[in-house]
Amino acid sequence: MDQKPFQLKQDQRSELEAQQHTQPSPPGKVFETVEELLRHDANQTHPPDQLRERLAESIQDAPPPARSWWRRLLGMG
Amino acid sequence: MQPVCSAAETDRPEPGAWTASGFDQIYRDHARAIYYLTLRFLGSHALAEDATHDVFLKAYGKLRTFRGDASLRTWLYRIAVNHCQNLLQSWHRRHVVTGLDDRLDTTPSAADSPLRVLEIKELGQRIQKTLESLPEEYRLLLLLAADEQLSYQQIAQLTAQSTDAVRGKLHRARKAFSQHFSKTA
Repeated sequence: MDQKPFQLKQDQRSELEAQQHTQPSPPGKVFETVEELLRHDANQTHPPDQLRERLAESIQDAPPPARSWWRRLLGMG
Repeated sequence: MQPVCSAAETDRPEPGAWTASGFDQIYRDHARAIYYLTLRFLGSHALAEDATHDVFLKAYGKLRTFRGDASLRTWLYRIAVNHCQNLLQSWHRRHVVTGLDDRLDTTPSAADSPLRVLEIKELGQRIQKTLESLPEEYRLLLLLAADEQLSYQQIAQLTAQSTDAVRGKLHRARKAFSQHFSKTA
């Protein structure tokens, strides 16, 4: 007689544990910080492939890089 | 297995200045970070492509004046930020920060709450929408803070303010972001 309430509790606990194991975790992805979210977004973002080629062409047409004032003063390359 | 480069890419001769200057490696190391900053700052892939091109072209022109006081990444960010801000100024798209902090501070602990994302597919659009709702300074600080290569001190130098100011503003920026982000779901 005294066993029953205990047995009931034990059953309830087992049932609850079973439910917890079978319940699916909430869908989606959790980001702990805004920075983490932005880093994820940044990792998914790539510059277009043609940009590298476009830049290389622009550099080819551009005048050579300017020398710094102290290099000019010292006559360095 | 997919080839790394297409035949057309490998057959095409490299422009001399591009490879001789070592600029190719600089582009490889930093293009993604600069592109991401300009994309989220300006809000479109077309604008980001043009801006990234212009930033690297400017950097190439000034490369010999780079003194190494800052890291190359910080130096490139400085050029990118100036470039984006000039564009935004010319479009009259500057936001007014005054008074916003008080309004945002009324919601407790939003800055520390995890952000749950159900639909990864539209994440970029939600992030863009959220960033656009923030003052320009908050947007910039969050984007810079997201780059693990930058310390708070470097962000402070880059944005011409104290490290404490950066910390405080970042806290408010996170809070503002979290509030707006939840509304975009």
